[in-house]
Amino acid sequence: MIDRRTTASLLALAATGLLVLSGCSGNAQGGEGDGGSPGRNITMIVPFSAGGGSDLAGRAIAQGLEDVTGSTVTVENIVGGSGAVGYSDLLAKEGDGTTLLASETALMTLPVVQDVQFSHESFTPIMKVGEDYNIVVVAADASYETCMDVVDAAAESSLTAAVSGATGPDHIAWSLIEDQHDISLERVTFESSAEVTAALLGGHIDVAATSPGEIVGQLESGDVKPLCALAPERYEYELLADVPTGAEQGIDVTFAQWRGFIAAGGVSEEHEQYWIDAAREYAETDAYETYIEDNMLQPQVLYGDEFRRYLDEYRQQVEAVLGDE
Amino acid sequence: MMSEAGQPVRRAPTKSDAVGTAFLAAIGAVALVMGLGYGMFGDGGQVGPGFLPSVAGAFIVVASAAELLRMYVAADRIRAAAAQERPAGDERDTFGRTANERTFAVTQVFGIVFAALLLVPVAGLLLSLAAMVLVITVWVERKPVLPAVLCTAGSLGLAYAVFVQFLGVPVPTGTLGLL
Amino acid sequence: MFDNLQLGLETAISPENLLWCFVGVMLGTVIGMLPGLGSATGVAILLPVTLGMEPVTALIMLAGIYYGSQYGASTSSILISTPGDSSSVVLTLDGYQMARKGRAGAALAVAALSSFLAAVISLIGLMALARPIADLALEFGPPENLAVILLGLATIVSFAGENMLRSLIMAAVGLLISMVGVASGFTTARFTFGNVNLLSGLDFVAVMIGIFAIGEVLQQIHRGGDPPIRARFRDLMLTKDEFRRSIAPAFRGTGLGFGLGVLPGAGATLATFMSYGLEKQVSKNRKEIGKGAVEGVAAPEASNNAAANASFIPTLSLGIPGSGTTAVLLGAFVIFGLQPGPQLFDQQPDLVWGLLVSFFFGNLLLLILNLPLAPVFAQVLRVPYSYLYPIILFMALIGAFAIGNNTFALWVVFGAGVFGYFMKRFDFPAAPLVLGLVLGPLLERSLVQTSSMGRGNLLILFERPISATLTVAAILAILAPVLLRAVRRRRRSALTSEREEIRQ
Repeated sequence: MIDRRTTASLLALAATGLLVLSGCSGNAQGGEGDGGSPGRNITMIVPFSAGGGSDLAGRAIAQGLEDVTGSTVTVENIVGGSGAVGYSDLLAKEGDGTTLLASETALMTLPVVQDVQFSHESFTPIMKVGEDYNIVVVAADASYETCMDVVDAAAESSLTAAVSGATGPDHIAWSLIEDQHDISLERVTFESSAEVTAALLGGHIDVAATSPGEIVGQLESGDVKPLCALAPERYEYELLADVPTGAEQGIDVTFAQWRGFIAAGGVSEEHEQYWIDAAREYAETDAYETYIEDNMLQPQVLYGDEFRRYLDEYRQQVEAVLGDE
Repeated sequence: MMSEAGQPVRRAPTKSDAVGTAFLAAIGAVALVMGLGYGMFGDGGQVGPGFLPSVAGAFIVVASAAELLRMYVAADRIRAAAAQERPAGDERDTFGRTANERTFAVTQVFGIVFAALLLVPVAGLLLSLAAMVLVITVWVERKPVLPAVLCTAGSLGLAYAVFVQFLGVPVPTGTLGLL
Repeated sequence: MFDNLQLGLETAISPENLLWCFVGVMLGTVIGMLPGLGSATGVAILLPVTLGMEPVTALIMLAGIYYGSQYGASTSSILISTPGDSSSVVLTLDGYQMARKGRAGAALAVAALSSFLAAVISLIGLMALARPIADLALEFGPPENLAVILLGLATIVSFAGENMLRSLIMAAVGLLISMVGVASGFTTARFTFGNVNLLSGLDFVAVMIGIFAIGEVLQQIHRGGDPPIRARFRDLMLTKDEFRRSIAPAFRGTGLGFGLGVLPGAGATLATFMSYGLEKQVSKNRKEIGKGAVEGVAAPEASNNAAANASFIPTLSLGIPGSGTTAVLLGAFVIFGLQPGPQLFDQQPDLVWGLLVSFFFGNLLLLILNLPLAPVFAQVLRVPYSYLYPIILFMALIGAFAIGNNTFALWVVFGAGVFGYFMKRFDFPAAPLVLGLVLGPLLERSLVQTSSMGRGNLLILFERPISATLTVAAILAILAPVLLRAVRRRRRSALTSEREEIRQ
């Protein structure tokens, strides 16, 4: 049977068609709303293409904010320059409280490595939604049992470590480990976590550090073996609860990819506070919890100035590793 | 003349033909030099960021030079083959243009597209492109105004329906903010 | 397996799923026909539309868009020589030539039939052997991928024919264009001249639109345009002879496409080029290929569809995308709360098998739609070019913008259009350029990875059995035509000298 939802969707399609025919766009311009709201029509820039991790985060946050504020939050994927084009677009919106951007580590690495016009100080940080730490994984039949085994083996002979991107958080994490233990790993750079996983499963590389959400399928099936989590605390998810932290095994490195959202630079304090309040409300919802759990993040939330201080520290770490390359 | 199969019927080498090939050689040379600047190899002898650009650039230089040479060595043979081709005199084509008018039309279309793109930040993407269609059909193709307007309105409507309404593409509306 | 098939059939045949499958293939066809909007962009843009649906329904529709847009992309390649996707570039060779000869309907029909054949065969392979094939695909690490790409580049030689040198130059130019931006594995920004838009390189779809849509249009104006086709409707139908000639190439294309499609990366595009090259070597009508031969449409189109289906093998059985479009689909899995990975087949059998069975229906729908519509679509060619080309320019430019919602793409299209126009005027072929453009990043990536794995020593290519075999095959593919020519020449001269002896 064709159920109600189908009928509704078909009607929506037909309505779109009618709308087109009548040539009416019905673009209601949002004026100044109440309670310091910057407007009813909000844009959420996602600086990467649809279907990726940033897009998932951007759409989840946009939906969450829509639910708590009642405004319309439209996601726009503005793609190019490894994220730089989207950030540059926000840079041009100086003082505009109606444009947000789903941000992540690229905001920190791009200004260090590339010649771009912005840094994290150009924008107004609103909310850090969560942290995506790396877990060190090897193929199921590898002889290593702990992260220290890997470090010891790397001191003896040359190991290959797969990283996703030359400036990715996994690359930075490995660099920190190398400095701490005076070892050196041969990096093999892949385009995405999925390719890293494939290379690990095929036995083409020795070890990888990847965010758990990217490899949960292989963890469940037992095709890869987690050694340690490069996180301050163990994960609470059932699948990862038994995975010790790096610190437990003598590797005191934690480095995460964070996710969050920012507003344009120079927005009024009123608008900044409006978005922080909305973000606090969003963090209390079930939708927020679902997003965090589906993507196996750690829900370490920061707002406004705290988030800004976190970014300042983060910048120093990134600079220490990538600045001299 | 060029067939779509990438199997051209050889024309006699013209001066512009040689200029084109030499231009490619120049691109190759620039790529080679810049590539060397990016570094051919890393610390441990790994392939570096300049490796493939340099190799591709060097290849283009060598191959273009060989092609230039071949063009002049084989010129006679090619000229003979070219004699059978469609004469490019003042015979009128399907657009009703002579060869000279055709070359001018190409320049016109290039100019109109360029102008339309410059107009995008002001008039928005859809209107600029619609203006482009109208100007080309009326001015370059000298079509009657009514069908040209219909054609423009049709493509504007189609683009609006598909891209804006259905796909939800955030098409820039420019400073005029009309469409 | 038959239990699973039945389960899948039950899911796929529900009116709701059938309906959305139909909507998906229709939308896909339209999207594919628009220059610049290929399957990956199409699925990405329409992903939000499906958010309110059941997961299985949404995935069925998105997959429908995927293969629907491939049918559509072939249509625009054949009719107006503006491919929507890199994997339909090869169709602009013989498909467009057929259209110019008044055989557009036949070309479209052959494309639809060989796509359908390839889809059915590759689906059977996908259903029966997904897991073992996926495990085999994992054996392909960076050195093996490098060897496959070298083999792909070697096929340019078979493409080239008389103007080998120009083909090779264009392939190298394509490589060079693909090198713009920050390379995989490095932080150095190359050829960007301080423009942030160039950091991630020139979008190859925008370059392709420029070269094909804009370059082709201006070239048509320059050389005076081809007359509108005046063929009668029934002359547009496929003849028996054309049908017979397409069968073997379609089967060969399917095989090649299936094999390459399993590998992540440029599977489909590479497969179309290689199967075209193969036909040029083995087909009985190889002399006709390039001038509008039906074999040159059947083989690449079959390999394109087989590769698209095969790319679902690593996607569904490992959670590792086999192509750009399946990567977007994997994103959709996560949005719908499904965990892609090795256990998907066990945990979500109704979803996976429902999706797979829906491929049959989708392709059948496309065949039913496209066969009778082929002559109708071909009517586009009756539109006077003076009206048609401004519309092509319009659609090409807005399509380029929609790739990343970035106006910089418009200038890329324009620049590539100027380049493409002069390229065509000076008899430099476009197809090798596209091959270089598509394979460039993959070549560089696997080259850099292989050299890292070998700690700077590329000879590990020859230390691994698969990569060694493929590399040797690539070298042979480059040398073979040269050797063959030498052998033939010697035989011919031997023959003439024999004749001369007899005469004496």
